[in-house]
Amino acid sequence: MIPLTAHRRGVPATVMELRGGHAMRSRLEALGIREGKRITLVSVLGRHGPVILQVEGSSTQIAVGRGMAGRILVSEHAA
Amino acid sequence: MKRLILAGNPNVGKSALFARLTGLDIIASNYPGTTVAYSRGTTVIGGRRITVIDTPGVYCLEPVCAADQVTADILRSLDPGDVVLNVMDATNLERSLTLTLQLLALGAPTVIALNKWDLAEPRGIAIDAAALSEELGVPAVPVVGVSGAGIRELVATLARVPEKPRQPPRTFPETKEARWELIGRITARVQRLSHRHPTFAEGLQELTIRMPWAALFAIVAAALSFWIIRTSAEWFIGSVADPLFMDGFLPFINRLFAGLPDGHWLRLLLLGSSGSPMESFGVLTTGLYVPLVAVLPYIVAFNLVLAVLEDSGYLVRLAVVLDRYFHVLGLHGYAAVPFVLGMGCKVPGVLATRILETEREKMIAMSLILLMTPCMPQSAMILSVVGEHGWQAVAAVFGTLALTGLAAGLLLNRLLKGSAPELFVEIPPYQAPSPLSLLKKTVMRVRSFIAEAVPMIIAGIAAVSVLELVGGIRLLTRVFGPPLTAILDLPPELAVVMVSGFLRKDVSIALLVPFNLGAGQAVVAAVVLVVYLPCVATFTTMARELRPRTVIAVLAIGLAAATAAGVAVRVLLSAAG
Repeated sequence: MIPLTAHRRGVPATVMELRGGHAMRSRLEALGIREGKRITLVSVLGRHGPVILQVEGSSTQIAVGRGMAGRILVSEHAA
Repeated sequence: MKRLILAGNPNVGKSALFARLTGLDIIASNYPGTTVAYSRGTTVIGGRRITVIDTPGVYCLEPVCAADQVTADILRSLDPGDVVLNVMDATNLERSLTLTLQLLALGAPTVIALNKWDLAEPRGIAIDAAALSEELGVPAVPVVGVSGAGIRELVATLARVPEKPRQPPRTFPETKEARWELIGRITARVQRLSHRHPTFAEGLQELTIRMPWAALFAIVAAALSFWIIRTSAEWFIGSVADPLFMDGFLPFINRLFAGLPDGHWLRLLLLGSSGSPMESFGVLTTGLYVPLVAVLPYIVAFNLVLAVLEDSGYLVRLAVVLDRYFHVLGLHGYAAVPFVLGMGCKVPGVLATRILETEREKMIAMSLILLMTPCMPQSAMILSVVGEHGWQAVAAVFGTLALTGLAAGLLLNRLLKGSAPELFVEIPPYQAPSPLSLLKKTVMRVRSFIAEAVPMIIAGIAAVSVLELVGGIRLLTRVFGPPLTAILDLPPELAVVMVSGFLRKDVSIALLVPFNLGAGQAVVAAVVLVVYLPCVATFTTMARELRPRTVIAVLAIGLAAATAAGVAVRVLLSAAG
């Protein structure tokens, strides 16, 4: 497992774990980011900026602050 | 049915649907968080008048999902006779289902509108509406809110909805696992996704959110927006509005009141003291010239550009790109939305701070909106009045405001306990803005400027004239003049300008004209006027949004920043000679 921020851009990855409290998990889950879902890293805005990701099957992209994005753990291999 | 309540995730198109159903004008945009308060309208369904309520979007009914509790409060206190219209985004079905299941558990009669139906197919999404309806046990109608397709069917379906609550109410799965399983099962049955490679256009669109292109694009977009607004407004003023006023209206009212002798109080009040509409301060001269000739073209141009940024979907991307920089000020990037709105008028800007999560953020955002984003009427007047001293003077004003805001933001971020929450926002796909909705939105915002600002401007000018007639100006000058001269090196007579600035900022900047200030003094006066206090309309909005303590703090910050910035500019300019 690696943080989403360390994953290759443009290659779908499977969410393995959301490492955070109830509030953070609920917010991510409400937008469809949860264990087992496939997400793709779309863009990384600078060294400390937010990242943009896309959930498979959804038309919208989601911007997530760097700290939160680092706590989304995904599978290491492009599954 | 007595009330129809629209509920759904953010940016699924509730406001567009609300406008379709009620025929009311309401601001709809292409970013989550456009609607921050509920709106109420009426429509006719099945021959009966029904109240329709639009609510701010939420992802779920628990407190973690809703920045403010407006929607949850409305939905948790449904009356018998209320029908819920759950607006779903057909291009985001799976995600929308969490809220849908929660709404169904409320037990009220419910109808689903599958909005953005037209966008699903091109994205390779096929939805079986009948199967969805069967799975959920309520009617599901495909609609396109922005074009109106399917609205007739939706209204017909609503007319057939039984009055009684559904028995028994569907239960919301208790555990998360059970919920995901149910949602997964429904999605698998009703939705087919066909894989599709991103098109060339989508590839290009992605560049606007990928470094380094994103930064370049943001700079170009900002510069282009400014250039379009400035050029088109100046052109319109110079070749249409000003000639019409000077050669048509002014001679007309001069003839009309030719009978009034010079020095008569009514003449002074209506036509003012001199021939130039920027200096005379008559209700019919300056009182109309400032809002309708000098400011209105800027308002129209600004709002057209703003509507394009909003509806295309670029505004939210700009907010994401700016996130890093806003963190320095103790905010996250989404604060860019109230900032940009505040450049038009601070009232919607202040209202939009509701999309920020904490009181700390709201306080910082409001302070900075007051300090660094002069509203369009102020900017227009700064461009025309301070612009007399050359572009360097204008740049000095805006530069000082930006630096003041930056300094205040850095300081507040350091002093206030806590830190900026992380950005977490949905980015809807780009869409081509429809010219009609751009126009409608602009008309709505321009109308509210005319309805609210013009009477206020005229009242402000009348107040100054009356003060002059009864000798109040001398009193104001005696009380507030000396500190003004001592601290900022401005003529003591400017006291009345400062006081009137509380009513309307654009008028007070126009009031500077007769003083024939030097370039340095004009810069100091303009900066102080913009910053020292919000106008009364902004103030009342702020007072409703924030706790009294925070309001006082924000006002104190403005006053302190005005003094500091004024003194700094004065010292710097005198040092530079």
